[in-house]
Amino acid sequence: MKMSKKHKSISWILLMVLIIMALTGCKSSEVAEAKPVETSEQEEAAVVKEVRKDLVFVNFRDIRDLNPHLYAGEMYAQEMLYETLITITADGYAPALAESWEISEDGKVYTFKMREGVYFSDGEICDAYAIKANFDAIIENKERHTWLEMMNLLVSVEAPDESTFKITLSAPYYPMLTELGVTRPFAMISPKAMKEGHTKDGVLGHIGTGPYVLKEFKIDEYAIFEANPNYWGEKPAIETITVKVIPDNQTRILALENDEIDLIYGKNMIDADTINKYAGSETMEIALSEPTSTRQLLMNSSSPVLGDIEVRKAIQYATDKKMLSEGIFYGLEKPADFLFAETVPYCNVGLKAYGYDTDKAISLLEGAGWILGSDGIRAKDGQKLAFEMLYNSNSVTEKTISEYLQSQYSQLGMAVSIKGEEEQSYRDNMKAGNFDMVFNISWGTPYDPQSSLAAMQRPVYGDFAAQQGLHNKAEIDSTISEIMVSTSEEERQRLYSEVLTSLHEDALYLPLTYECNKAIYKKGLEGVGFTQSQYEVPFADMYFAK
Amino acid sequence: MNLLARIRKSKQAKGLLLFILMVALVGIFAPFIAPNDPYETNLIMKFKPFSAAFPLGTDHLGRCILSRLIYGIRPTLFLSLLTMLGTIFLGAFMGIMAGYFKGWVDEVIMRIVDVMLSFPSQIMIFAVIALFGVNMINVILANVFIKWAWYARMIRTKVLQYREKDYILYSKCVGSSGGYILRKHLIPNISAELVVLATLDIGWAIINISTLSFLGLGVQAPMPEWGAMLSEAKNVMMTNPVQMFAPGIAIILMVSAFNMLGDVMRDVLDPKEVFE
Repeated sequence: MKMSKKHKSISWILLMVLIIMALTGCKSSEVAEAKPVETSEQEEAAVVKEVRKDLVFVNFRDIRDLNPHLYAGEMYAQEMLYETLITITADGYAPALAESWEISEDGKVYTFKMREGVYFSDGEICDAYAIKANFDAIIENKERHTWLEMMNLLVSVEAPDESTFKITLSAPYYPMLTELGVTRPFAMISPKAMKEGHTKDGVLGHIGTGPYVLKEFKIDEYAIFEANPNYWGEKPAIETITVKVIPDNQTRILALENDEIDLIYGKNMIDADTINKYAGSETMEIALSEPTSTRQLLMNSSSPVLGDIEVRKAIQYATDKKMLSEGIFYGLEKPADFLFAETVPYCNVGLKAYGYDTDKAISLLEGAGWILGSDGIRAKDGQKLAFEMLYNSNSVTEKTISEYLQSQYSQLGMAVSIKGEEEQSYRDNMKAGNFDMVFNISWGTPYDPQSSLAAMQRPVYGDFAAQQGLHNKAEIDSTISEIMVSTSEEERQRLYSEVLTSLHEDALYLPLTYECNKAIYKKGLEGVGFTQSQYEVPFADMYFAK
Repeated sequence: MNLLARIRKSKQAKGLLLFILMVALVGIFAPFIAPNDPYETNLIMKFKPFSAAFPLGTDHLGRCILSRLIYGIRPTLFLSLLTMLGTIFLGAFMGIMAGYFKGWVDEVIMRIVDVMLSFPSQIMIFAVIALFGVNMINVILANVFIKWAWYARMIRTKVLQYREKDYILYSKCVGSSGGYILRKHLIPNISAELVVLATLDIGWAIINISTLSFLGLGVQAPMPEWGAMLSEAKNVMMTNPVQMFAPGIAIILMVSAFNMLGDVMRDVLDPKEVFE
């Protein structure tokens, strides 16, 4: 008995110690942090200041399969390793592997003059024949690239000599250069890395012409890239880039604080609270891009509840985007009214925004026969106004938005259940149409609006499945096809207006905010910027200050 | 001396029971006690520090943390009580069956128990939830499913101990039915020990249910639950570390209370103690 009393008092003391440790946990970590800084200062004083040439980057998942002709790899990594014929910059198209190009007068034949002296990192020359081998491998797997309308218009690709490459189309196609300039599938891999001329079943190595080469990687742990010594262009200042895999947002920030990583970059990698915390920090810098795309929810027109257009419209009116923008993003992301921002080419078509009006939402629901039940949930003919919202649990803000919308909609008598899934399974479910409401993947520049619209015609992301219940789906699809081969600017604008207006009136897309790319990095790292594509990380422009 | 009288003698047991009872009452009368609606969001008011309107501040959606903590008692405490009741019921039934009937019944039950006990419990819970889907009933079923075997084995041993006792043999001789012996002799003897085991394990059940909710496999949003609250707090660990304290401390206190109560109960019910 005496023993056990002693035991008890000891365990009480231990508990107290534990609690005290927990309470002071933050403090002790501060102390621990302060130490390495001191030593590094001492080191700096002792050694002649040397400019760092290695950067540690972080991503929420592995680089995965970097085959440039398929879609399973991380795009930032593909951009580091491979190059395309031309590249898209803020000022328009710029030469890359092709030094110059000509378009025939009828708009059907594209002739590229290859840049000379470009070699793959395995020593193979990157001439027109290598490009031809790449195109052959890509075209062989045509069904996989249906989101590229050019695949349907392609007549032939030829390499008449080593410095000339020619593409012939059956009809003039205005987004042709854009499609050639996007990260994939038209990125060039060494013919030696192909499996006997094929790439659709995998490649032998990740050999490109880009500024970096992949040195080593360990799945789900890290990947190391090194500067390509034979790069034809300007050599990047950062020579080694290590990419660590850290799926959790808070762990990433902790790693950044502890100097384990130098840079967090990406539109869904950093939440607004973190940006706010480090704004004006002495050790960190933050960078925000211009709006790149639209953060949006997609409603499934085949779903029993959301198939009712009145419900969809009511949801449009019931969403307080201004509150989302200010409350969750502290105004960093502006509220969005349309599927594409009016600054996107062809998208300023004078639509009327739905606006925030709960009274209108209620009257729409009542008018459509959705009557409030005794349990606080509306119902119509025994069908409850209940649906599921699917979000990507790898995204840092989608859960918060879901929770907020869930509580907002519940006030109007809608029962929303929210479900988060890891990125890949979220994408699979989306493509298969297994959702009522889902956070849609927005493409951003340079894909908007032509590629994102073209992709609605086929099961690429969720759009195709979600639109199946629309009465005018066939009409939308045919108009989209018409846009792609339209030759006059006026005609094209008219068709775009038609499609965008009917999508807007169908109320299928619930735009939330215009999202922007975000970066947070250690002071001393310079040149952190954003390119046209929100998926690219321009490592080549980065350097450490002296 | 009966159970209640013994407990009444122990100050610690009384204190702990009082604390747990109080928490349970607060949970039951949550709508009258909570200062705010636990579901009401207000993004403008998110991450607010302690104030008169929000005694423990607000969470990432501007909801009152204290109200959520109070409403969170319901799933956290009552689901774990339900889990324990289910476990004890199933475990006791199987254990008594095995111990009383022996023979092939015993063999079958005990081999199932062996199989159940040879799996790591957490993995089994995940498997059950993955199979049947995420909801509260499945969480309870999963917990019961992995825990009953342990009880079955304990209870079987006890039954084996008692069934050879003279008074039971005597009772058998005078022709008492099996049910009578079970009700009048076996269950009263075993129940005291069951209570101790169960009290100790409620702490385990609380942690387990909170863990599952923390991982997003238990209680679903927007329902307040301590583990789920802790998980939400974890998402803002670096920017708003204070968020972790309320649900974290609540879980620590509740689980320690049950663990200590179990400890104290063992002392209280220890026969040696009675003689002292």
